[in-house]
Amino acid sequence: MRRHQDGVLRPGWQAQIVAEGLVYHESADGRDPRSYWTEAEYYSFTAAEVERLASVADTLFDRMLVEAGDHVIANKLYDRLSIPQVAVPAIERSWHEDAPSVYGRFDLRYGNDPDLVDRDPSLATPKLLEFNADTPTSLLESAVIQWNWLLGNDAVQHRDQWNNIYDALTAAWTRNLAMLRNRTGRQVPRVHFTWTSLEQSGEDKFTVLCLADAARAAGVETKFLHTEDIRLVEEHEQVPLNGVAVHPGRLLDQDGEDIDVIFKLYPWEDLARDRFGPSVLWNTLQPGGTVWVEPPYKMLWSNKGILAVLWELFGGDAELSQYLLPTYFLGEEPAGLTDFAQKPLFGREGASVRLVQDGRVLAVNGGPYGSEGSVRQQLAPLPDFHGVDGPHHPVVGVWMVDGEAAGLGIRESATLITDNRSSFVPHCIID
Amino acid sequence: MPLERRPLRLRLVTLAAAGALVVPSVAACSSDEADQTAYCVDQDNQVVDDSNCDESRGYGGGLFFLMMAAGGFGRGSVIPSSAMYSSRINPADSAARAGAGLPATGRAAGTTIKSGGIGKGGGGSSGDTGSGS
Repeated sequence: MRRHQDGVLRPGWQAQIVAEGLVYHESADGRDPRSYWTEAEYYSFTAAEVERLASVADTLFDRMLVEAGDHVIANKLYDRLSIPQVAVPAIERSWHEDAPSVYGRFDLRYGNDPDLVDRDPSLATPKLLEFNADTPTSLLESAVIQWNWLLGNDAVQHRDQWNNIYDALTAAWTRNLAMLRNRTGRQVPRVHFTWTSLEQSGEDKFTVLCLADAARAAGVETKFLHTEDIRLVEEHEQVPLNGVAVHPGRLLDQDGEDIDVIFKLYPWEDLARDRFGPSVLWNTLQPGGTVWVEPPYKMLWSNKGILAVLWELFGGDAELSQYLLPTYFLGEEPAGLTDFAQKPLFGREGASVRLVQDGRVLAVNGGPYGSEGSVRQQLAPLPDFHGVDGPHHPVVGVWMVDGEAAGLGIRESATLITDNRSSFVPHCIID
Repeated sequence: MPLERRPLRLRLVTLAAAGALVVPSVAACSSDEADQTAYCVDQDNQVVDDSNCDESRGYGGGLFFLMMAAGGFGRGSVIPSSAMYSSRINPADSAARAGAGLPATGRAAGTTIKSGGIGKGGGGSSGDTGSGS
């Protein structure tokens, strides 16, 4: 793995990436002159490194996260993950039914550069920082923008890229909807796609459109609406749901049409606590109820508490523990853990994260999260692919599409916490 | 890598980037999106007991109707035209019921159609904008 600063600028690259959907590559207020997209710098990997990343990601998914999900459900660890009681039946049903799911992204710490590995051998092994299982973004950048960059940028002519994301998404829609049809007898000619109207940069909208394009390529009709425009037909009489009184209901779109299957770029932990949340969760359990993609069980995997569960299950496994960082629920960490990243259970985009070394705060990001609980993950600073312009700390994102590793997207920051001010950096394969 | 070595041009994405795919925010921008409740009314639009529109009462027997209206109206109230969202619906007409967003069969009176209950624009949850990670 190398970082290159000898790239070139494609003529008209800014207009091109905007036309391809990266309308959010500049800061919203125009104050930050840097583009979110990095055109003339890139990372390279060997084919062997790509195979290793794919193999580790598949191992994390197949051998570790599936068991961790089973473990949480079997032992009813919902309180530890701050999952509300009313969400439990929907989580368990969707888990046992293997409800439709198309994507997720592992964020890995990895820096297999010989100079860096000399100083820190642990950088040669991919390690899980977190699993963005429910609402991962940077999809369009990974699947489309960097692919077209590879084909059009002279610096990487004839190179390859680990990027099967779009084709895999199309196959994922085909397979998941066929499974749903077979299991339920429902026809599912159309899928709704939704995101919140408050997200103004376009990032959520274009991430959703990328997924919708893949669904259309799979032969599915698509329809779009904001989450705020989803209507609930609420019955007056309440019924019990796992000990909570909820109003039964069903969901309509902005035109009053039934919502059969809906993809949402909206966190389940927020949805569960929203005004319609209990009715939505009740509805998923009914024959003919709305099917949500990603499914409710993603509340287990996207929760940072799953990192502590993984360590509890596999921390003693000589092979599997090498892909994890020791992680504990706050208050349960060993006394010797003085260097750690404290991450809120529901945190997103680096918000409310605090890095501590020997009791000293190395870095801290503000944010709204943390009251729900946190984990402490052993501090493992991101590698620094130092350049002429200063530090570059990459997080290696491996896209999991329909449960299989399908491609790579890298975001890097000048600081140790990767947040929504980070940049996307493309990659190629060099042997 | 993709099966073919050619640029990816996504139709929906490209349309939206060109401004040709706009998704309006109905609930956030409109004052017409108040909660609507299905009332059981008589021929004078006076609210009667919900059960009069039930299947067990022959779906109103031509004497009682469903009506979508905004606001809280107790039994005996006459729904003013300014609060009406629909004309009178025959409770036995499943197509008309479905067209109003109500269940096609069974009890419908008392059902409320709401919007704005999911998402940060609906006041349901707090936090920064954007939902991705």
